Amino acid sequence: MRVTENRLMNLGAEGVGRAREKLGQAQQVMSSGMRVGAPSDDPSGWAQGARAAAGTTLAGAHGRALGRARDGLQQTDDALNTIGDTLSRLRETTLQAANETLAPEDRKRLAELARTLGGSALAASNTRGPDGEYLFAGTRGDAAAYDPTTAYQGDELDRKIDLGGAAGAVTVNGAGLASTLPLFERVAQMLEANDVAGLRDLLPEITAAIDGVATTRTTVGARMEALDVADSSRQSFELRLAASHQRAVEADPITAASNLARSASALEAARMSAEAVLAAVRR
Amino acid sequence: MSGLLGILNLGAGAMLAQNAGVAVTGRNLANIGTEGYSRESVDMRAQRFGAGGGVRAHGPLRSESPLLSARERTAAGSWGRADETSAALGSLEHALTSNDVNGAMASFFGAATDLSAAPLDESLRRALVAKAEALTTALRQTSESVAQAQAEANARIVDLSAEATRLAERIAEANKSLGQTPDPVLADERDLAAQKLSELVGGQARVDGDGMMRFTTPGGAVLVDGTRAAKITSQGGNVSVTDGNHVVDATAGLGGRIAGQLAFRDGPAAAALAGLDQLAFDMATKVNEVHRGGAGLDGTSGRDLFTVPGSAAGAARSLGVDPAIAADARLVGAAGPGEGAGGGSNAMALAALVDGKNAGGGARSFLEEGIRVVSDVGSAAAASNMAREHEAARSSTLAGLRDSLSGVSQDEELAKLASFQRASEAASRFVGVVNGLLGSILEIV
Repeated sequence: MRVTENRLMNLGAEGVGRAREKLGQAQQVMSSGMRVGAPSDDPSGWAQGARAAAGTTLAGAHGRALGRARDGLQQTDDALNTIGDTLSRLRETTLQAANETLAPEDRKRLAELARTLGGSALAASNTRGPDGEYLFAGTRGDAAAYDPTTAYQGDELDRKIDLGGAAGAVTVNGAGLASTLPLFERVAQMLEANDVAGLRDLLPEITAAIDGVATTRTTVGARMEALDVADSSRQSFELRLAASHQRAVEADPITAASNLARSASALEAARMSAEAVLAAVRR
Repeated sequence: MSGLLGILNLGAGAMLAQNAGVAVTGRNLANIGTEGYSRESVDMRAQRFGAGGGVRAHGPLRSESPLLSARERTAAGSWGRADETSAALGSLEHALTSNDVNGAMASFFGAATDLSAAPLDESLRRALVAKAEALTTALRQTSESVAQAQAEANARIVDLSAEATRLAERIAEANKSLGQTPDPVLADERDLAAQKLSELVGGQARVDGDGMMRFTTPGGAVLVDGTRAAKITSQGGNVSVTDGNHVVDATAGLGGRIAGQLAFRDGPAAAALAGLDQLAFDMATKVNEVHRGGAGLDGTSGRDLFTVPGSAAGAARSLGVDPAIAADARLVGAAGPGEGAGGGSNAMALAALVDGKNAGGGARSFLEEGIRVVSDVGSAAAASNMAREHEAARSSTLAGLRDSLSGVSQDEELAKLASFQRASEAASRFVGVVNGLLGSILEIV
């Protein structure tokens, strides 16, 4: 085939241009760390990467929701612990007052203590979460769970969130504590009335209330455990998404470096070839 | 005596012929880098003794192959189409990915998940509204970018049509001149114009027995017939060929760059726009359906979160967040039926929409549909890039073949120049010898 000098020079220039383009691409991959920069680079890889990126965003939101719920349950547990403590002290006080040897004046002083304990229990029952929500008010957390007379103002619903495919309760409403808080006032009134027999009769109710709080704490613990399991599963999912994203669109550093070196060598060879053609034409 | 004078004429003819060769070689060397130039050669023909013997230079002759030219024009049309489509799809791909609709959609549903855990947190409510607004902005901007790409395609079709008309006129003018005087330079220009016209509209040209070139589009519309050139115009999205009073809609029967732009505009760009509109409409409609079931912090329900047009057409561009909710995030319906203000089951239901097959006619989730819209364009762009590379390689091969036939080789021309120079010198010497003989004879006489 007849080949002219023009053709040789054009071929040389085309070769250098192609090699430079390849080098640019290799450099882009190396510097960005991304093998797929645009959908057309690898449509299925890009789609897989986009799925993984969206999944990571959603998993992040899920993680934050789980974290918020866990914080709320932790605060709920702390409040229940306080309520349990006050109930235990109320029981001790009641036991002490049920002793026949105690003077009526001493019982009146203990009545004051019972009301103070009742105030602490009420305050703990109206604990608010980080966003100002009353934790024991069920889904009516925008208002106090108990009014000053200890009447329950919330509902009997628990908030649920997605625990990874299934909804799970992440709050504990205070309806179960509704009969607990009035105990403090009842004890105080019996102490003031010097009603020893009544105090003795009240002891099983106080013990039952303590057990009730303990049971509620167990429920809280179980729900926290469910959150932990969901979060652990979410973290594993997030790791899988990151791996999937890496496989789909990110560049393997060794391959990228090798491609860069190969492209640089190819450009050098193309240049040398073009120079040789030029030299031959000049002669 | 007349014999020697005849021989003297033979020498003079030889000198003229070799000098013509020098002139043609010089022209070849001068045009070594001229686009579309076909090397020329002198047709040296020996003269019969009866006609005085010696040599006469005819021509110059163009080194050309009608078959190769036809292949080049076909390849130019395919290359033009592939190059135009590839560039347009590259822009569309950028338009679809730069606003990250999928990311905005994931963030919006993620915000609903966030809110489901703390519905009374007003910052989370504001975040949800902000994400909803960001999603509508991403959809609107992406849709506008795609519509802009379509508008650019239309503008480009208008420009390319005007250029095609100019080229058709140039071919017709060349036909007219070549009908009067054969001129290799004009023939080169006409071939080059035909190749450029093929690149724009596809089609084929043939040179008839009268030396006139006739150019037709792939659909059969005649653009050049002898000295008449048709006008190619684009109006209302269609391309017409007008020859006098005869107007033909050539939209479906074009190739080359114009067909590339038409295919892009009516294919991937239109599909992407429709896909975005349908996605926006489906997503907003479904979200509204769920949102209406939820109550805001004011205890009322039945509100839409998005303002949605009546149909999918143009939905991506006109989608917005309900103004009342945009102004007061407390109205976001996070609480489910029967729940107090702190209930989050409706926010959870909103978040769960992301996993349901609510788009693509019930075949895909919103995210999958968003990814499909972009990756369809990505696949088309990848295929188009491959086609472009293939056509570039084909064009390069044909350019090599053309160069092999018509290209000017400096070495060859210099060798020819030396040869013509030597021959001219020899002829000159020959004339000198004959002249000497004539002188001797005249002295004797």
